[in-house]
Amino acid sequence: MPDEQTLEERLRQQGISRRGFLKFCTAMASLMALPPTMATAIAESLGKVRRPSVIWLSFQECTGCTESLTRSHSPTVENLIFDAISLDYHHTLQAAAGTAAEAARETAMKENFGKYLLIVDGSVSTKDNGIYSTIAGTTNLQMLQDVAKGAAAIVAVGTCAAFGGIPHANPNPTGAVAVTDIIKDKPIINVSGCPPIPVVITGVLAHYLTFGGLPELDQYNRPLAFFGDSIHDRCYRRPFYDQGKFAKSFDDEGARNGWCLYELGCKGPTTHNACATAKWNNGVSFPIQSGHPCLGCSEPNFWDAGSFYSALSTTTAPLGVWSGVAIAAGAAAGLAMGAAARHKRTLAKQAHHVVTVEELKKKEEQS
Amino acid sequence: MNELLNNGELMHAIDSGELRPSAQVLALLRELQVMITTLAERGEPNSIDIRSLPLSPSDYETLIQILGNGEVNATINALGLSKIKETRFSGVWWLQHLNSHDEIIAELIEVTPLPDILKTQAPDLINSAEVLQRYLEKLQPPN
Repeated sequence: MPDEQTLEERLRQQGISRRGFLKFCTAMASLMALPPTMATAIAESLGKVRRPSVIWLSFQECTGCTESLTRSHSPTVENLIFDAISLDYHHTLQAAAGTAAEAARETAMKENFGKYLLIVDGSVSTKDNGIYSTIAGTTNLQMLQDVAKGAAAIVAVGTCAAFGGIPHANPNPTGAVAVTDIIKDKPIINVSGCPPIPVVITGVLAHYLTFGGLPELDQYNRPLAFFGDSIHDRCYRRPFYDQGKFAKSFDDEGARNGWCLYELGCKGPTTHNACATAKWNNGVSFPIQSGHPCLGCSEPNFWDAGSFYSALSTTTAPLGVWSGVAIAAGAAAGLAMGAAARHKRTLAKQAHHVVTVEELKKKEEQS
Repeated sequence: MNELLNNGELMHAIDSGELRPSAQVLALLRELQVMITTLAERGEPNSIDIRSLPLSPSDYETLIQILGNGEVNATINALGLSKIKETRFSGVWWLQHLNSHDEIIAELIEVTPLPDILKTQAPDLINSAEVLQRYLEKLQPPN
């Protein structure tokens, strides 16, 4: 449950110095793609945070997103982030089970109504009223609608929660949709990827804790700090693309020389994610560095966008375009409702105290 | 960090054409040049987040070789180690922050007379006075 102590007070009790906290905030600034000089300002702001309640709902998913987060390469940072929040419900990680677990969720919802952060991984089954995926006898659809009511904001973690993901892929037997297809009146941030890069998940949480609001988002509600550039833009093999040097097969001279994988089906040019800079496995590598084209897993409908091994120009369906159930659900909801929902979203955002980067900078200059 | 070239060896590697940095590394060095001048003329510090740059492993090695070692080397032990050194260019510092599992969580180049993380932080000073006070209350003079 949330308590009244600030993060800084709790860290001090654990014997963590301000210098240690500043170091952590330097890592946070790096995670949030903010200038390193912001570390001091982040320390000031984050130090005063009181633990918000977090409810994590897992729907039609493979637990890969939770695996990604908990296997993340900087345990110290993750521990501190988990220390900064009160994770009141996560059915894979929590000790309680069955009725006790659901009671914990209901208590957290009641005590922190309007203030808790809701994290969702997995898509939501809508066909036949969502009976294809249930938890404790409640459909995912119903649970999402119930829990979203009291949420200050929602983070959709992983491509399934953000865009429907693999359950949404053709023929989509369960009528799987994204969180944004169901919830229209709350600020929602999509952290896509199959799974998302762990530091991107923690970076978004850190941003929420530091600034008290959502970061700047792209057209798919993804944080621009991590999804602003395409893989192609940040790829160290980009100079080979510009020189027209391409690998034509997985074992030719071009592949051995580390040339561009565009002709082998790399979706880097149409995929927005931080893999090329944040990388995976302790920053060791990312798919392209290991010699495999990017699959485009952080984009909508990546599973149905043609072969992973056809060059982009030969795919028939353009990537990054909503289709199927997502559009149908959106159309049913209607455009007029969209405008009302946007207004509600703005109100929800206003109710939440938000600090801007400029304010933080000003504070930093004053100190 | 690896065995690094001294000033003479670096000059030789550059003159002989043995060391040929990529366009990315050259751009970064030019940016550092501007930052050093800004610090010298206006006293404004600056920094670069190395992990935000699309450097290949060999670019990274080249950058480390060119910046090399300078006069200061420091280690901080707070939530894991931090390795901090001044490079061969005075005022250009290389900072590596590790977690308790010795994995790098942040890596920066700072252009400053002294990186902030090396300074004692104000809340730690207050705490330090309190802790010393507690010791003083308990310490007993020799019999």
